[in-house]
Amino acid sequence: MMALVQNPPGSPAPRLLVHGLLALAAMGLTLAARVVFQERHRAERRQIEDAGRVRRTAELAASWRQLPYTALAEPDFTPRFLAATNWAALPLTPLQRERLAERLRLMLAHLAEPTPAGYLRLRTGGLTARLEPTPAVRTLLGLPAGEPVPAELARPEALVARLLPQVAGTGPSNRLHTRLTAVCLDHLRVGLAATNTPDAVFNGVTTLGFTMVQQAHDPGFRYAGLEEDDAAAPQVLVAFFARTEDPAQAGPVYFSLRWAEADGQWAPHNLFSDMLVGFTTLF
Amino acid sequence: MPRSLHRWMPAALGLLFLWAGLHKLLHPGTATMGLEALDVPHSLASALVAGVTALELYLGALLLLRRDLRYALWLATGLMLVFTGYLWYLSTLADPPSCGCLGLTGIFGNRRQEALFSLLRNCLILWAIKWTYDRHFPRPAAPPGDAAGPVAAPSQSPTA
Repeated sequence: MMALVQNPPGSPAPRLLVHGLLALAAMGLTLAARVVFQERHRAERRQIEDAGRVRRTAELAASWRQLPYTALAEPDFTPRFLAATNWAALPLTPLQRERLAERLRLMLAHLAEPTPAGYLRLRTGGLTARLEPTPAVRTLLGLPAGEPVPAELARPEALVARLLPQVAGTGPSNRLHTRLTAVCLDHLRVGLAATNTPDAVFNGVTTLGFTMVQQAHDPGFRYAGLEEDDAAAPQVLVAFFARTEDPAQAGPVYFSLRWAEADGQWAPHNLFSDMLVGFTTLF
Repeated sequence: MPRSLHRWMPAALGLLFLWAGLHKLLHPGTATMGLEALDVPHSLASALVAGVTALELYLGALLLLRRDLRYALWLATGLMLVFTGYLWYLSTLADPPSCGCLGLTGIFGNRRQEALFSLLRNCLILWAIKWTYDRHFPRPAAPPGDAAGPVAAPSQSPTA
């Protein structure tokens, strides 16, 4: 290195001093700019992150739209869905397996055509359930906190009938669609988990990716022998790509069912859908 | 190619390095986040970009002022080889991050195309550095009758 920085003949300044000064000036300028433009650099970073997020979301949305979807309206859709389910990934008893197939049929019917009656069948059929409206539901229905539920909404049927259109949206002018119209059977994932923490649901055996997820509204159904934090109850996680009436809206949908030992039945627990699906419902 | 071009090449290369350094000085975000996308921790990525920025400014000044041109051209070659290796690695990724060099971010819709273009650009710059070096520091002509093979260093005899 020293051989490379030898002075040419007649140079006025000592070579190493010039190099040192230039290097120091470059480092000083860099550090000074880092301090002076700190805020500007932070803003630039946020801008790049936002642009990257938008770009990545657009890429994911495009890839999800291109998947091969099967219409839920097809007569043989449910048998095909059950056939596409990887039952080997679910070490269940014959009873649990049989009940899960029943519950999945009700589930698909609810997602394809949400009706208060169908929803109640899914939520309470074969289960010892009670309905305690959650604070979020109370807010949606305009019920003051702490006050008892009015008599006209005391029955689950009445409460669900009032709540479902409010949550899912109705009418052609509403941008939210009430139903799923098609599911990609090529990417149907199922798995058994001890918890349904976000990590277990979105990064576990059923992971399909997501951009931003929204949770379906739970009116507040509670099941006998199945407390909210009951970690002992096995949970089945199901995930698939789905589409709504708008073909531009497609993305992953995740839901979980918990085994209620007392009733020998699967109870719906949680449903999450990607914001890109634009699907809101009761679950 | 004009004969006098090689006289201006060090200054042109110096301006190029100064431009790259100044760009990173004002907009270090893309380069830093490009490294972070490759799982480099934020503090290390930030330090690396700051170091490269200072090096580009120093090298740009050396070339522009024509200080120790031989050393400056060797240093430029080394730096460009490192950049080219980095870009080659980026071009092999399915969805590479932006390299953040020379402010070309956003020209290409596809980051892979951007990396490949940058790779080509760096090869051209390397060739320009080599060409400039050869013009400024031509190899001594081989002695007659020994055109092939390296020239042996003449022995230094005290009686010569």
